[in-house]
Amino acid sequence: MSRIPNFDSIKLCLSICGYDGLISEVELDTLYRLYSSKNDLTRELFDEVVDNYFSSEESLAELLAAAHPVTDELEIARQAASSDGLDIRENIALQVCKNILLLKEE
Amino acid sequence: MAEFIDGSPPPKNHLTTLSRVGYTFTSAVGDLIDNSIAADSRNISIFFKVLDGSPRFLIVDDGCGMSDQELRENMVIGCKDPDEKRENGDLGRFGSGMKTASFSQAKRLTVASRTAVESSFSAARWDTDLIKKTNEWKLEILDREDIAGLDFLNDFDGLGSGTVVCLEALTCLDLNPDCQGISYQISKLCADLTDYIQLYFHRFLNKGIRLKLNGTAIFGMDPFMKKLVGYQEGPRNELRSKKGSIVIQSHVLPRISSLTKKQLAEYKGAKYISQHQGLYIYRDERLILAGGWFGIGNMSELSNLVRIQIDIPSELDKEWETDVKKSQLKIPLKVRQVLKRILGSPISTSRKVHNYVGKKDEDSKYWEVLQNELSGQEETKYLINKDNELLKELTSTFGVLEKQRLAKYLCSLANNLPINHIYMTMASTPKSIAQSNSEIDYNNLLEALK
Repeated sequence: MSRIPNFDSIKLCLSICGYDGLISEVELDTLYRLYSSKNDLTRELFDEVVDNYFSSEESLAELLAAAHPVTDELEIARQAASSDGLDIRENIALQVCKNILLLKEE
Repeated sequence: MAEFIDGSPPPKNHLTTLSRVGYTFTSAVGDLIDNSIAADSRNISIFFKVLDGSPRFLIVDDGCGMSDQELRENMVIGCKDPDEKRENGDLGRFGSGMKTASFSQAKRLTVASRTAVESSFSAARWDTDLIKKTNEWKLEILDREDIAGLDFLNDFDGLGSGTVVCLEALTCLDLNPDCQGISYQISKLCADLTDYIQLYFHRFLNKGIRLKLNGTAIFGMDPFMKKLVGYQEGPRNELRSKKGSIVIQSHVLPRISSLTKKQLAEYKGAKYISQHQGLYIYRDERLILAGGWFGIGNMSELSNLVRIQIDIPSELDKEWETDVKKSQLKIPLKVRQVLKRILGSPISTSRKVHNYVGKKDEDSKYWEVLQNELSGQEETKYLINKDNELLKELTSTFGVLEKQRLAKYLCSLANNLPINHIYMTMASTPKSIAQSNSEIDYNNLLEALK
């Protein structure tokens, strides 16, 4: 069943993918494919969120706080970031998010 | 308790270091042209001449110019913070380019400039001999009388706003009487400079900036040959970041043998084209690196038609580790990964262009091309076509012995094809191969067999 997309969680995934400084088209395509399979999201809307992310100044920590991510979304971020090879900085961002999420759950 | 002492480098030694950061004549002039472009110039004139016995190099532009205060600030080495955000189209970064580029080629740098609202020029001068003599960074600010005495400004009275950069006491020329004449050296440097400007500034020249060297207009040379028949555009990729986007566009050039002699000469020959396969990195549309694979691909004859255009914004200088000369940069890991992934497609297209020609050659009724896979290794053989009608007709009257002798000769002929020479010639001067004068060749052979 499709859900209403959480734009902050898309931006969080983008932030993880872009933690090495750049976001590739492959990462964007993978992120859209994975996210839209579980959420009601058109490509146009997704591209708008992407443009909004690039013009915003929100940090990873701020996005993490705003997005209230679940493990599923971090898995989407991992797969998208890995789609063109998981950079060590992307992996660090992912681990930081996972650890904070674990702490919150505890 | 620790103490702090003044550790600033002695100007004399520092200057020597700065003048040897590795500029070539062309890259130094390129840096000066960058400043003219950054000043929104539409016309840039370069003069490299001997005046009253002393060689002089001038760059004159009609850009926005500088006020007296701006000139004073910009003449200081390292006048800009490299981490500061630069305006779009500002090709500078360290605020050192003009000075270090000039010191690498000349002992004296004079800059005269005026804005649209000023009626007279302001001028300042660095004299490296004076710095060395006094061991101080003494920047000479020229007064009205000094400026009136600058003979090179007389020709530019009509210039509205703009800047004139003058290099004197040139170290890029060897004034030793044993060396070749100054005029010859200047001609050689001007030829190199023309080639450099045509390529490295082609995008600016093709969009309206007029650049002349000693009065002769220089036109841009598109390294991707986009307007020539046979050009193929490859896939385009974009990498985004909060500071700007990197655009990667692949191109496959037309087959070298399809170029006319004129086109081949314009592109400096087949060997040059082959050697300059690879990555073309542009920083704000200004070419920084022309060709080479930087460990991402291999130089090969089959990929010699591939050019990958990479456009980066100057905002990403830090990530690309751009140096003072803006002629060296480091490709970030992620870009390398994307390049490795996308490189297959244009290389395969380049191979197809070569294979297509190979196929046409295979159709010969005189030669048979055999390709076999032997123990995992590809093997290619060029054999005399045994089904050739002429050969059959000729041998129809032969006895067994004659047939054996002819077969032996033809096998030796096929085994001794000058393949390496053909390969080298095809790669360097394909147009020089003339295989059509068969009548002359026939007569010569007949004469020799008599």
